Amino acid sequence: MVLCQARRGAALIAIGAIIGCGAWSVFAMYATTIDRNRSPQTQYIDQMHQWLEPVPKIMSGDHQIELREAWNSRSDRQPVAAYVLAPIGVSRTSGSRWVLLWDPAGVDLSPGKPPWVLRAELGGHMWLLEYVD
Amino acid sequence: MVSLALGTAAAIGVAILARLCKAPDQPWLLLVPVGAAMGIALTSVTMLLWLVLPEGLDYVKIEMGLAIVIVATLWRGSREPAAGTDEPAVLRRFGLISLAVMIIAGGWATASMVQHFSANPYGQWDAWSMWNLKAKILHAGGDSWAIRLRDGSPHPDYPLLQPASIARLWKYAGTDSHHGPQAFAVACLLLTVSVTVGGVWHLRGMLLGAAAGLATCASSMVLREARSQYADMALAMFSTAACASLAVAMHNAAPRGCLFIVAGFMAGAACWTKNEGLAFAAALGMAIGLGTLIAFGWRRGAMCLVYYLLGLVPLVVVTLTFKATVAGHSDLWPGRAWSDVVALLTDPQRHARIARMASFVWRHGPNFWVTCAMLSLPILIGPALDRRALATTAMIGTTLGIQLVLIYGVYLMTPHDLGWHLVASADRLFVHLWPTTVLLLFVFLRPPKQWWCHRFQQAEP
Repeated sequence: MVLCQARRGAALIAIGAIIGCGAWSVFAMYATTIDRNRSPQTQYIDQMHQWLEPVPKIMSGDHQIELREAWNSRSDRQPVAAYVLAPIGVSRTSGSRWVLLWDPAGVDLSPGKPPWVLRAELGGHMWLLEYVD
Repeated sequence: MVSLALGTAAAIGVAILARLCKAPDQPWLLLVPVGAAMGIALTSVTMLLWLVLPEGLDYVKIEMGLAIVIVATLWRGSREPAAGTDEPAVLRRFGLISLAVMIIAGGWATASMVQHFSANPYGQWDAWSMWNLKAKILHAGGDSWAIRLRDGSPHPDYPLLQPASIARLWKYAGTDSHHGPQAFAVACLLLTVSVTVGGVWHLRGMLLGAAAGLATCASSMVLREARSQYADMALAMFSTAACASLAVAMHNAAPRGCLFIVAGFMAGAACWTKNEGLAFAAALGMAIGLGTLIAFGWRRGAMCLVYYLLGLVPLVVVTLTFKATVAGHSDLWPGRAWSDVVALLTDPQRHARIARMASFVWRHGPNFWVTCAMLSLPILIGPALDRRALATTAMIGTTLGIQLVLIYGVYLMTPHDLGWHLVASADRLFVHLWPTTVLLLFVFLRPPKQWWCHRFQQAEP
């Protein structure tokens, strides 16, 4: 019986540990590790939205395929194994249209265009490309 | 309006479940969160149907009208008094305290998500560049939404439950604000925890239910993924709901067919959420087929499997129809020679890298002390030894095991760089499996009246 009661007590302590440590860990995550600052991704998207006027309508799928093929056909570029993410927007200064390419394989796509500041925050996998109708 | 949209979906789902499972001892603790999840899945499909209907109809008004009709027609609340619990009073008191702690922790978790969203409203990369982009295409893509999904978004073969649900929230709100995906993310976390608590509470009492809820959300990976606005939390919600429904279905002497239908529907919703859901549905189907056969004999076992398939089929049909008509090919299975696949499978370095990542996820995913305490419970409380409880444990354990084997195979054969694939997805895999693992461990324990000493009950005033 003593052994039985000791086991029950230990079980209650274990359950209490789950509840106590669990609640504490959720609170600790809230108090310490929560990201209250804007992440690099958020800053990047913010910057992009400042620089580009959002496109009111999503670019059509056909246009995106054309864009990908046009990019791949250029001899000074490596072929793109990338996705056209669209829609990004229209430049607030020049009026040209831009889209975003994502290249998970890290192929060197050097578009020779600004904005280099934005590029630095993307780890080499995200590229803004000018889109000419 | 976003809250109204989520509330309407939940009301539809709960009303359907109340009608479907009309026994007087309805497991409401489980049925309410599972019903809410079911409503989210159903309305994601109605949102897609809306895209093929003529323009000019007011989606919100029609859906609200339908919701009122459905709730008024189907609602059958239990007229019976709630069955008295057989839980010792001491455990109930501890349970109430634990429940209060769990609710406060849930509030913290929600507050941390809201704080994160206020600083980072777009979610993480995949949310912005894929899941919410797909939702934007559904919301504003016009007649050519299908072409735009196939050719204009990454991973066009990914199912659409989350994008369609977010697009539906935007329809209610009248604008594609950040609040849609954020509210969906919060709902998925809270429903996942609620399903775990409800299932364990119904089967093993309030104290263990609250402990299971805290064990589920006391993981940095779970909270991080929940606020990322990815679809992984939604997948965890549906797979946990399926396993919890199965556990409650197996609880009675005669298995409850309606809950096998619910388990099937939740597995179908997992398929409609992410491709990993297909592996989950197949694994659960195999486990149910085998487990019910052993527990109840071939005749009842076959009926359980039929009920499961009845629930599974609708959303699997939706998923396969989407894949056959709208989605492009999967990037995981490009045409490759068998010799290449065999070379990948037999490369020892790939096995070692996967094992290293599994070890990393295991060390950093769950909270260490919570996991230690959880693993000690089967020793201290003891396992449930009746045939149905053992069958349930074996079925959920088998489902997890089959999923792990299938996912291990995907990692071995992935055409992508293995390091990138592991880094990009291993923590999400943990989030898929962790709530079900917690559920499994708590369902494995003896019920309170068996492990709490009779003398303690007599000592109660």
